Amino acid sequence: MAGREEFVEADNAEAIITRIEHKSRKIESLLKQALMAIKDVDAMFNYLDPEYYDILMKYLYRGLSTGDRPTCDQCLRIHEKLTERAGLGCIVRALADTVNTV
Amino acid sequence: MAAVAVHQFAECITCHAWSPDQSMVALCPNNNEVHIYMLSQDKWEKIHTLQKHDQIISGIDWSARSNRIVTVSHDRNSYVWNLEEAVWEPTLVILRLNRAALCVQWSPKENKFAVGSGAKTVCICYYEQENNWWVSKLIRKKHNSSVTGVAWHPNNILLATTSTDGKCRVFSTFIKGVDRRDSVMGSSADAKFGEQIVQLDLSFCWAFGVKWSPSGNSLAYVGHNSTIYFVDDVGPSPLAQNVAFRDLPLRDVLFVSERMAIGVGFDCNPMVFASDESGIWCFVRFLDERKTISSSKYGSQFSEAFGKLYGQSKHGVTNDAVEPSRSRGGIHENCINCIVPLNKAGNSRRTRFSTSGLDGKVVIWDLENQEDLSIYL
Repeated sequence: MAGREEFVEADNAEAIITRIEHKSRKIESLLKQALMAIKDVDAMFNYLDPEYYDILMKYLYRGLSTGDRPTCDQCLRIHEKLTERAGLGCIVRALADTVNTV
Repeated sequence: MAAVAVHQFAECITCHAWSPDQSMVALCPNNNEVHIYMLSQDKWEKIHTLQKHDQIISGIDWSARSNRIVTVSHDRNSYVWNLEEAVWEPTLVILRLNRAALCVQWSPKENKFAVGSGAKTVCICYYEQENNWWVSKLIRKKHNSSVTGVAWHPNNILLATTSTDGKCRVFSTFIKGVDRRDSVMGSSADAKFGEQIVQLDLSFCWAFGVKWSPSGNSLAYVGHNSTIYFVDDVGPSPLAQNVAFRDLPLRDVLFVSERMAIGVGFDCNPMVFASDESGIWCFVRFLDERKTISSSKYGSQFSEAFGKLYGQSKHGVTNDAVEPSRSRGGIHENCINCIVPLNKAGNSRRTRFSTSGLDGKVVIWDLENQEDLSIYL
């Protein structure tokens, strides 16, 4: 019985992993669309509340992790501007936070 | 200038402490020795070398009234040093640890000291007259990781700790026969030894350098995510504030008044934090003026690294040799990991303090002539 339960659990885990993978692919494509939609980086910063800088930084690193050339170029462009505004502390916070990841 | 004296003592300093009259400084030059320097005719002279530890000394504290030095080391031991006829005599304190000791502080009454360790425990040590030795009592099973900082509340009972599990905790350290009940005030009156008064879960990563304000009403500690935490009304319902700043993380903090705190760390330049009338804390400025001009730009090493990172458009950068973390234009040239208050005789205001760091310098700072900061003192 016990063995069977374990098997069911493992099966479940596999399903969960597939779901997570599916979701993360979906997020990735959404992220790409969102980032690519930013044409004027300076204008974007003008209406972005500084409160959200840390969150934006996390998404930029998520975007960089895709390894997709145009996305990475765009991320680096925004990254440069964001670091000018929010400082190195913002990068440190984005890298250090292991709980609220994106 | 906020810095009134700079002296290069060694290649690297792990920690330092001042004698009661502040004529001598004890420091560890990143090895198993403590060197004591004395200022004579504007020159620092080494007058003692304390050799007993086997490994790097991670903490030194010099008691103000009883003139005793306590040291802790990665060799898991602690020594209390007494000056007897011009010789510092060590007394071994068996801490009963299986990991390195990381920090130490004398209690305000100097009848106890607290040691934080990598063994996820805090040792409270006190002197037992009848046996003529120092006894270590452990607070176990409360921390989930190394204890990186300890700080005594002015009432001699409460102890605040920070840990690499990201939490800041406050414990009662009441020891029968050492402390008297009437010395404990408020809600913590009945707390037994090792009882946790409050646990502050504000940081998601390593926490360092906890300190109490002079009155003991609030405390501050720093996180490794470029954030500093201020907590008022430490007790059952604490009020906490997070202050995120734009520069590299801090390692230690010191209150100079109820309304102003100085943070030191990887940015090599002390940062001033102050609270306004409504009690909201914010970053004011860097203490070392030279940095304020360049704070909107990065130091050479960073712009060079970023130049490479941002890549294609910037072909101008051809020099591959990345400079070590020097030439950032400040007084300290590397991470500052220790800040100690300096009290002038007859002056109750804490305007002077000293910092030491991985560049081997001890710098004395004075806030007396900093006009923009005087409203917070």
